[in-house]
Amino acid sequence: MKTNRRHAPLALGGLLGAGASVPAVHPSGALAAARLTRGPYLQLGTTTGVALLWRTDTPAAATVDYRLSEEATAWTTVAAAARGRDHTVILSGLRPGAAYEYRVRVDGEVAFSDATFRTLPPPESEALDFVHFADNQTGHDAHAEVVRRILAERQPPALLIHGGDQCENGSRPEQWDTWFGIERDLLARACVFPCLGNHEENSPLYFEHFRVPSNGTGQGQGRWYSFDAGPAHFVALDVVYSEVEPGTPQYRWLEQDLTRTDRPFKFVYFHYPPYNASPHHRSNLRLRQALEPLFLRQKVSAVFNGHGHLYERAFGEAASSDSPPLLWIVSGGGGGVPQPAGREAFTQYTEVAYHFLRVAIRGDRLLTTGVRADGTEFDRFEGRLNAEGRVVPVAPRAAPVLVPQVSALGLLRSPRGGVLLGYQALTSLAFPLGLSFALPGRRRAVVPIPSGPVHQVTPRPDDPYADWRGLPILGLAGGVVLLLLLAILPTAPLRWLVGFDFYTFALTAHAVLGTALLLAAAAAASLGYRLATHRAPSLPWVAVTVWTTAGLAALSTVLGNVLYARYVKSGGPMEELVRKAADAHVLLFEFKARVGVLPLPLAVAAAFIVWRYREDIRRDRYLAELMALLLLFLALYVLAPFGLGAAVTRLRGIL
Amino acid sequence: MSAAGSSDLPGNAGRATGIGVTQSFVRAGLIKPGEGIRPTGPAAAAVAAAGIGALTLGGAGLLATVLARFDQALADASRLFLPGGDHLGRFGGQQLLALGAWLVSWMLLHWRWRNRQVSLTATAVTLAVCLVLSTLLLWPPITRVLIPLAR
Repeated sequence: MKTNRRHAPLALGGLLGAGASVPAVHPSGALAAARLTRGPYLQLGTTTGVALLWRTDTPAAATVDYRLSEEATAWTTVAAAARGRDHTVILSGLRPGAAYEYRVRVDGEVAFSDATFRTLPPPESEALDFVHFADNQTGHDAHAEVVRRILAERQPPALLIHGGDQCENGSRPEQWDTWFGIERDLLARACVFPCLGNHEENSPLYFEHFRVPSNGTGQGQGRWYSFDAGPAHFVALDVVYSEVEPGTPQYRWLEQDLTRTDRPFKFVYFHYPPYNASPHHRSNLRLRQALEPLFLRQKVSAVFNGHGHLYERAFGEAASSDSPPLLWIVSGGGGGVPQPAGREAFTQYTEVAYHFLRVAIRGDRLLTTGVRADGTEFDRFEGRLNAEGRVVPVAPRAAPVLVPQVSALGLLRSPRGGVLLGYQALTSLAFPLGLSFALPGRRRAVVPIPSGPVHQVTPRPDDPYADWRGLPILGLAGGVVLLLLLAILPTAPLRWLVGFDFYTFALTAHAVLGTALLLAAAAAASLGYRLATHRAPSLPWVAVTVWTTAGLAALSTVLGNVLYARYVKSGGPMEELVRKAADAHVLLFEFKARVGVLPLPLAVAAAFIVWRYREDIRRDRYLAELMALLLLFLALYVLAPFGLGAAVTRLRGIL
Repeated sequence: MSAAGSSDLPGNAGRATGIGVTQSFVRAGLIKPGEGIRPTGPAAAAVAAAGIGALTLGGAGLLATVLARFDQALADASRLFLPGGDHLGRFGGQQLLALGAWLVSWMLLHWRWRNRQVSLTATAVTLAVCLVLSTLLLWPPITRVLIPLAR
């Protein structure tokens, strides 16, 4: 394909007469012809027509010449309706499934040539090739690689379906310019049918750029629509900005649309994936619940999604024993920052790679193949239409799961394992070794505190209970009971009173442990202060408090991990929370979970010092002050996640 | 009796190290024979290692934000952390790295410092710096600012 950017002088009077803005000026001083700044790109492809759109830098008159490629007949010319910067030319009356050569003229000059497109194949066609890709966003180099790879396909795709998130901020025009720039050669020869992603930001720019078929309802135009190509019926949904639950306009339209079509293959695509094991996004259960029964009922062949920046093929879980599972494919490796893969029971194959999804229909067979940006293929899947019109996997369902499982050794040998190992070596070896050389090797002063009765705390003369050691114990016990009640009764673990399962047990235990840990850490911090001011009580007091704190910190950390795994699991509370209050998820769970593990090393270090130094922590001022600081940090790092955890219980109102 | 001040110290004990210090205190009658201030190295090692573990946790979060390959490696390593650890995603790998850094650096520092008097003031400063840095690196508004680096 060639783009003609030759500048030609224009008649000034003609431009002004057309009411145009100030035209571009050639460096030579002559008025320059308008140049293409976007496109041409194909839209609204059908078996007999297509729309060509492009943009020029200045207003201009535009025409398209086209002819059948095979016959090389005389050119037919169609002119745009009016002068302007944005041009649309509709070619109609074309032959189904035929290749057409075309060229674009701007103000009479050829601005784009040597391009070929193919009209969509007719209904009776038994073969169809198309491509699904999504989530290009900011990875422009990877995006360009993926586009080059699609262009290099031996069997050029008849159409492209895009799963959303073309650019990072759909409201910014320059990002669309970049996207169209990268896609130019591809969109000039294959028609793209997009769907809305969350990064499109529901921007008017999206609707300006793309012309999609009407859904015939007067609602959701440009958002949800369907079209046919050969033996397949395609449905694009808007699950980001429009409701899709049963009873909503989109759902009613979808049900009717799937019922009406007579094509043997039915494909639905939209942005958020109902099946996605990646810990980054997880499955969207709301959509799964709303759409999967309908898709099964209407014998949908496969569903394609984006959003997850990876590849994952899954079999749906809602199929009955007498019907095959529905095929779900997340194919969001179009250039966005890759996201980690996960694995759940529904996962058949997953891989993190820049890629696109090649889909081919041959008779009653459906073939899907992942194609990486370097051209290598992965996860070839084959299904066949059965007598009921459902796609049945050719391989038996009991076939071994193809998810690549990384062993510890395999991980360490891989490039990403190398990065991990490097970081581990830096933090475990290099950093401490450097520290061991950097820290002064001797103390600047040693001030011993002799042992003996002189260090007994002097009772206050006005304290009648000074000699009675039972009072603080009683007070401490009462405080523990009170705080436990405060932690349990008004917060989430109240559920154990009305229902009891492992999750609520773990939740209750975590809350109780957290409260006990907070008390122990507070007591330890208080003892630390008394150590630093040389009023430390007996060593057993210090030892029991610090060791108890360390034990509670260990238990609380393990239980916290169990709960976190449950929280982020598909269908867990995270999904609902992210949907309704994403910031609450980040601050109250992600941050809390991570800060919540810090008390463990602090408490263990304190316990070690008590065990190792015993009475020295009361004799040595510097050691006592270090213990005081350590125990103060410990109390703070227990208090912070405790407070965030308590705030979590206030979220019930939005969940 | 309050703690003995530096003026009570015999000779140049303030600049002395190890055994010399202890013996000087025994001679001065400040501590009994058999008692002594043990080398502070092991205490410093325990505390510094806790700080290193914390910093490793924060640093891993930051790296995962800007390096997709590292993010995936953490998710893979998560499977090795605890039974069912693959459900933890990146968090499991982060903890595994922090745990490794904490324990290995503790062993290393303990080995290096086991017979040395290490400045506990410097150790306390190290701990404070590590904890503050780690908290900042884990704080979402800060990591969000760093996300553009990954683009």
